[in-house]
Amino acid sequence: MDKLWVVAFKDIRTRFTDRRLLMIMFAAPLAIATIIGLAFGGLGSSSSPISHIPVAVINEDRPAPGGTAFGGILAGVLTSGQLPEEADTSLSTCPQIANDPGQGSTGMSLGELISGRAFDETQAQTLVAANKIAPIQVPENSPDYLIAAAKAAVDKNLYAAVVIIPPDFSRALASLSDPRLAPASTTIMVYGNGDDSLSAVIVRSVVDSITAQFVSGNIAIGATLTELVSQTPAALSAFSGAKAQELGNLFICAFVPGNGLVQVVDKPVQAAPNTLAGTLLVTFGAAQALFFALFTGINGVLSMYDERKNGTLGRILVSPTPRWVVLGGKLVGTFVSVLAQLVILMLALTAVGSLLEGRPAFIWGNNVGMLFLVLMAVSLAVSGLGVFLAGLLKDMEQAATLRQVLTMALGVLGGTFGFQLPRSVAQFSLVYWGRDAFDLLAAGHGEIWLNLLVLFVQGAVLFGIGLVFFNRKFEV
Amino acid sequence: MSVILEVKQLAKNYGDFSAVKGISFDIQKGEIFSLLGPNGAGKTTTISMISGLLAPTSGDASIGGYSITRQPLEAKRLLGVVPQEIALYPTLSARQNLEFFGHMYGLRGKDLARRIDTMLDFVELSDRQSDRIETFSGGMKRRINIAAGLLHDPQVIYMDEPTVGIDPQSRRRILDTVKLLREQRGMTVLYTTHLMEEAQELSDRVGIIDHGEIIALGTPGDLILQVGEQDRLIFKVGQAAVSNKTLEHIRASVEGVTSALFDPPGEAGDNKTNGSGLMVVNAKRGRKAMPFILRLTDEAGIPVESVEVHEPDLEAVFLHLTGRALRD
Repeated sequence: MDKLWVVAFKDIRTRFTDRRLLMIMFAAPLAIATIIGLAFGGLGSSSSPISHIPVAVINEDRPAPGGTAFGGILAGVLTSGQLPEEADTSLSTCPQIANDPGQGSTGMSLGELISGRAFDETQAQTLVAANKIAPIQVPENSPDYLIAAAKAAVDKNLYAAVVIIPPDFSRALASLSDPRLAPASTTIMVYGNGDDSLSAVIVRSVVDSITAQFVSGNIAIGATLTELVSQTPAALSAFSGAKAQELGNLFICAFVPGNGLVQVVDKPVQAAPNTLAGTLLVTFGAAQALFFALFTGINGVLSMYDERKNGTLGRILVSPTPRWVVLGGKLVGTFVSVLAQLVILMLALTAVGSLLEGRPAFIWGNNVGMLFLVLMAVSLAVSGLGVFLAGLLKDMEQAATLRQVLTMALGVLGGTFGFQLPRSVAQFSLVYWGRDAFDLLAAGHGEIWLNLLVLFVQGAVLFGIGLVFFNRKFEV
Repeated sequence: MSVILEVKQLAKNYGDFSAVKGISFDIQKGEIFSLLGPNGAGKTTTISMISGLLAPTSGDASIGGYSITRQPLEAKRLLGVVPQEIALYPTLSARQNLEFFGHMYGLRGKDLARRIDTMLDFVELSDRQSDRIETFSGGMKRRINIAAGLLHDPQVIYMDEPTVGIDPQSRRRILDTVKLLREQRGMTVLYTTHLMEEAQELSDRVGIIDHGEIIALGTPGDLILQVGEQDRLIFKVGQAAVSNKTLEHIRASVEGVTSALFDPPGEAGDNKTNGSGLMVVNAKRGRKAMPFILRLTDEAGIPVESVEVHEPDLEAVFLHLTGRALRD
């Protein structure tokens, strides 16, 4: 068994002492991702070429009478970059705002980034009438009609995403600030277009950013009131009506342009998934890392053909070493190489992200455990694919041709080259599943079990089939 | 001497094509045995089966009593292989390469380190052990290639044309190494080469393989005698003429002479380098016949300016047996 590790270690050693391979494994993906990051994220730039992402906004929020309309604030910011017209943003209400709303702003406002539009029944009917979307199979007076129409519009690429603010949005947020109420939770739905996943991720990040401020602000108010009530119980009765409205105004002030609170490039780096640079680096960096990991993985096991040509495989096989040990060692060596490559690239991209942001950043999200699982799954899937090909192909010429075609095909399907094919096609590529998992984790979502399942199963099945073929066909 | 490698009715078929047709031979312990044959004769297939790379269709071979089909791992432990190509990892150092292949033969720790030191000394490359193989000359790579095959101190070493493509000095060093392996370590050597002079210099016995069959087996001298090849004596006689009577007298009275011909001066001939006449005599044991022939030419008044003796070699034997040169 220890010969397996010897073969694996030798493979890793030869790979990491080959300068040409190191260029392919690390320099190329890092350079491409960095160039994309600089081009789109901007180093110290306050503007981005990515702007005016078309977003449909459905605001179903029903705030309590006299309460703050958080849904209206969110919808207002998303639809025009400004607050609702009825909102009071005067200097007396929002004293922290400079006379010139743009003064002191170093970032790009959300309005520049997202071109949102309130989606209503009239618009839905217009789209149906113009045959831009299929007739909706839901009654028009149904609450689901608008949502179904908006989703259909997203599916037809008319919007990058639809943001659906639920009816209990304001009430749930208000429950956080009122000690008399039990904290409630709610869910905003962001339905993204699979063909433009980058824009959808950005929209999701923006929504996350705004709601996070709502939540933290309300919790702060709630904590303050709770403390106040514990000292002066009568204060609670005073917190109603106009007073509560004043607090609501403070939230509105937070979203007045020029206050510097909601800016895309000025966000704290810890919230990198909510920033443009972080999102771009995760999306493009992960795609590049996975694409070049494919090279490493496939070439790693297929190096068996190089070894056969060079005579080193024959030399190993004439030693008292079982054939499965050689293949197992190749697999382990490739697996570890791919894993090391991905980890190093992720760390390097994190450094690039930090450079772009001007402060330390970990752009891959906070769920390190799941991140590690994704890395393991991707490494297994890539290595398994290599074993499968090693067992399937007959000779070096076949291997040389097919590995290039396959790598490019998987890269194109997985969205490595900047355009995203429909999900129904893209999901045939392990690059898609890996990249999607990285995107989700970076955005703070942990629901990547399907991605993990697909990658692990693919790796295990391909390895098993490859092993059978290998023993039958691989003669020196 | 005892048999260390025994091949019994070994055969390999690819569909209807028989690459090796049930060959049998054995090699004694401490022997240098050369297997000769042109490309496609079945030499590589035979060696691949012996070394466990290919499964035979039928028959078997044993190394040190271990069957290559039933006890392949035990048999492989007794066999070292020095492939024709440089089967080393170019980006690894000489020592790292030897460490890896030593591990493949189960060597570990201090024992491995000691054997690597010994082999580096043996091939005189201790001072370059930390350098990458890709920085070595062709001859140095060959020596490390040999060291990797010898590292586990095998009882039988198979060397596949180890002198191909290297300078004469390196070639001489490798041939001396092969002799040392037998003399100092008592190692059995299975050798393949296209160079007949190498085979004749090194081999105790030679096997000639063609079309998947062993067509001749024995010492180089025996093989030459078996096929009845003769020495060719070329006497340069200047402008003198050699009569048919003299030629007939040589044929009749000198033992071993089978033919005597005269090639007059001024006419084109195979062995002419100037206008001198040549007397060409074919004889078994030509060197023994030469003084008798010289006495007869002297008695006939024929001035002999010089004599060349062309002895038959394995190339001639192969040509005789197959009608083809070894390099065809």
